[in-house]
Amino acid sequence: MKKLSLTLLVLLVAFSLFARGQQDAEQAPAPAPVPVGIKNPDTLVLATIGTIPSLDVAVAYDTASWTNMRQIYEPLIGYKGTYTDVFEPVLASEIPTVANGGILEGGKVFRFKIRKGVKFHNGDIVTPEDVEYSFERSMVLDPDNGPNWIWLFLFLGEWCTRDGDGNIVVDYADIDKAIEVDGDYVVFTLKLPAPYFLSAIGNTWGSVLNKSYVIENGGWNGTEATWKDYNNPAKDEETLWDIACGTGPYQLERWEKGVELSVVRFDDYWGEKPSIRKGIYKIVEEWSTRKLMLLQGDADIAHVPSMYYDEMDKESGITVYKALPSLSVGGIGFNQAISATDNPAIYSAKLDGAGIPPDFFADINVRRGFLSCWDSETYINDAMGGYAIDPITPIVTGLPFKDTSLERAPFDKEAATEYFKKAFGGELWEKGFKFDFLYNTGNVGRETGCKILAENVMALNPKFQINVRGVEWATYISNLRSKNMPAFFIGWAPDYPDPDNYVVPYMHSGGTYASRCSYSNPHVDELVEAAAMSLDPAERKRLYFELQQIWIDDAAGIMTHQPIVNRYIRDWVKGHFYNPMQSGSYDLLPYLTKE
Amino acid sequence: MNLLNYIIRRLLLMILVLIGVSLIVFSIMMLIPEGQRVAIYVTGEKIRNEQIESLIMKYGLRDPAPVQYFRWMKNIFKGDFGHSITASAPVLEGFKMYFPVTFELVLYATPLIVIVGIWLGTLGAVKKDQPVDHFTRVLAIVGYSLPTFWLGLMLMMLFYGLLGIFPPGTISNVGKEVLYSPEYHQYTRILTIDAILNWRWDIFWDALNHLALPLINLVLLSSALIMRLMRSSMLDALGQDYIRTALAKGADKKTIIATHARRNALIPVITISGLMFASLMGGMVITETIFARKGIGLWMARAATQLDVAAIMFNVLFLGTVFVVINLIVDLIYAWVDPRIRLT
Repeated sequence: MKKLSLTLLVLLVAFSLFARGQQDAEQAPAPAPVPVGIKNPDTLVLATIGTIPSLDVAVAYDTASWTNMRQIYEPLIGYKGTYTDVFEPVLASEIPTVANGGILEGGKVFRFKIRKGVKFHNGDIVTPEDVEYSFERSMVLDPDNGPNWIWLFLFLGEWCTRDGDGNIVVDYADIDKAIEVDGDYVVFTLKLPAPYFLSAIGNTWGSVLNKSYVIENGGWNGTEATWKDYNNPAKDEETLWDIACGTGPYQLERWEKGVELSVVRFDDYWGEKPSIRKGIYKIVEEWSTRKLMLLQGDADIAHVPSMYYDEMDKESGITVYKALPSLSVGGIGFNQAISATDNPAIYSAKLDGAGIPPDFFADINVRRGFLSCWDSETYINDAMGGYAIDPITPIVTGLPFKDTSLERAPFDKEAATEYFKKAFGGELWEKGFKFDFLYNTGNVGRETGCKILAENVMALNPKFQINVRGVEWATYISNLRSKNMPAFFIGWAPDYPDPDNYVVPYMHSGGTYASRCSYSNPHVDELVEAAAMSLDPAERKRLYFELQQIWIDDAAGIMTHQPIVNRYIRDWVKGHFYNPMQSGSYDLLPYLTKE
Repeated sequence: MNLLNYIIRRLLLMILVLIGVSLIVFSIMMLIPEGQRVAIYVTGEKIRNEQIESLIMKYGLRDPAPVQYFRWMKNIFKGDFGHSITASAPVLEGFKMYFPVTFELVLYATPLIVIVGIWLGTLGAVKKDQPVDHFTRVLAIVGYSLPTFWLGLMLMMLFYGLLGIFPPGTISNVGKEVLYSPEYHQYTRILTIDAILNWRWDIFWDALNHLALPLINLVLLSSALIMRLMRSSMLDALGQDYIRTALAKGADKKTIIATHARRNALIPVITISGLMFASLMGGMVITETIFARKGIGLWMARAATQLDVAAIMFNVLFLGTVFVVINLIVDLIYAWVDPRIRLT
């Protein structure tokens, strides 16, 4: 026994010493307890959450995929530096303008001159045909969950290539003629003029693919005969879901699904060569582990949830980029036509004090009552830790045409009481109500927001009952779809930095959230559509200002927060700059250095 | 019945067990409405309702449960276990990716857990009510009652955060470049074994360096049960007449403990060790999460919360097989340890 004990002890000590020795040998010597030195000097490691669903630019519609694809693929134009409304040419050799003949027919036709001599990662040269193919392929594939509606809407005036039963509802001829090659140019013809087209094209879904590479790997061959075969591919059956051949500064090295994705510098890159040789996107779910990796230098950048900002601010060796305004926005929607079929969330489905009727939120006094119970200050300070702006309307701060003169209805319980007393001709106040207020489990901000609102409303009248309940993501999605939720939290990250991408989802009757809330105002629809097509900034300003005023007057919902983010990066990483259209700091890989 | 027949009969029974298990799990999954099961294909709140309907149709989620079950079975016979959204890969590919990570940990952890448990349990029994016994008892109680995540985090903070050794993950970035270099062959995908087969001791130590903390964590936690079981079983055995007689006749104490008492005390420990090995093979969600090791446990946890039916069904079948096979092995070991036990 003694021998065994001794042997085990010796082995443990020897192994610890060895491990320590290995560590010291691999890196510059550093003082205990936390050794600090540049590990992996030619590699940038991001420790983050979020698995990557796909690397196909026509399919990916999430920040995890985007931040990796931005290293590999390039669009025709990109956002310049920190701007969201100033562009720089990438694979196009110049930005189209009216003056240079790039914008024609009042903003309906855009001509892009394609940069010459740019190589794909397999050595092929980029041609205008590749550009045409890339955009047409995006519309041809049009997978569920994809970003393709942007092109379909701009070029064809449709949201989708299929109806709800899966039948094809668009003509290939329309897809084909929307983008044409004209010598060194590619000509885009929109269905209607759209001032935000240049904003929309600068994202990953506007990336240029190598046509022959895609076809060689079994992708769509670019003809009408086969396009339907490639429409709406099953999940992960799209050709480029785990392979890539772009023109970007980095090429795909390896993707270990659910573990990490690495890219290496592309030596034949046409632009300025990046300083860092390799980038690794590493998935580390546990926060404590990510934090230690960042502090130990095994990660150069880490995803830090906002609740840990204060904790991280105290750490040394980290550069903090503070209070960066994002372009995302969250809110609470009031469903004006709740589904009454098998819906436990509204209990009796009647105005009898034991439930709510399906049209509960159709009464503007109910909506105003809830709005007056929204304590924005407490929510932003307590639930968001102070890291948010009060957006008031769906258009966020930082975008053009934000009406900063508007104020939200103040948190005022007396006013709320008055509204509730007027609702349903006074019946509501007499009988009371009861419903479930759901949030998706794990989203602490939403949970807190639901509770703040529910508590404030219930404090007005003991007959008011709101059950705040957390449900799993699957149940949440199911309830969203069936319109079962009387009120619900919603969030929106922009597809392109233009007010149109905010008023459509929140206010247009066909918009993602407005339709779920059964919010429909024909005048609003007219204004939204007119603003989307107007090329006159003064006219757009007038239209968007009117829409924001209507949002307030209609008490259509509660815009709760526009997050402010902090970024935590090792102090040896230089060259950081912020653009709210970035998915995160890792987008900056080609611009960063380690020194 | 000879041994071979016994093994064949048990293995044939396994098929029935697996069909039963698959039916039960599939039925439970089907109790969840298609509107919730579709969530696995929905990547964000932005999706429109028509798209959700389209997804339900595309994946046949509205078909009757027996139709969906037989479709799944038919595909299995064709070698297609379906596609796992949580692994972003076909199920088999996901399994090949995650299983070696779990198996490597189990491969080292199980013997260590068993050895430490038996050794300290024996020590406690032989030195009953002496300081060593008190120490092992406290160790067992502490090990058994400590939450896995707490101990894991403490170990991480102490060794990695403070001392800078034993990093999380499975291998360093430098090591990974070697793994995927043309001259290196990944025969088993188990890092330490492949390293030996490639005669790359730097990779072996690199992998072991990453394996150390999860190993310590598991050994501290899981050996507690075996330690307690071994101690009480040993005390039982040491109290038997034949042991007292042998001691009275002046037989060597070490021989009596090692050969007679411990051998007889091992039967319950073997049962528990077998079950423990099987359950560890199902993955260790918390250990794998804290130490950033992408194994079966982490995959299963993701699959369960996101209703990834294909991944759940495959892993249930896999675990069922593991349990049946391990139980069979345990029975065989019984017969070897105690020849009085006959396999019938």
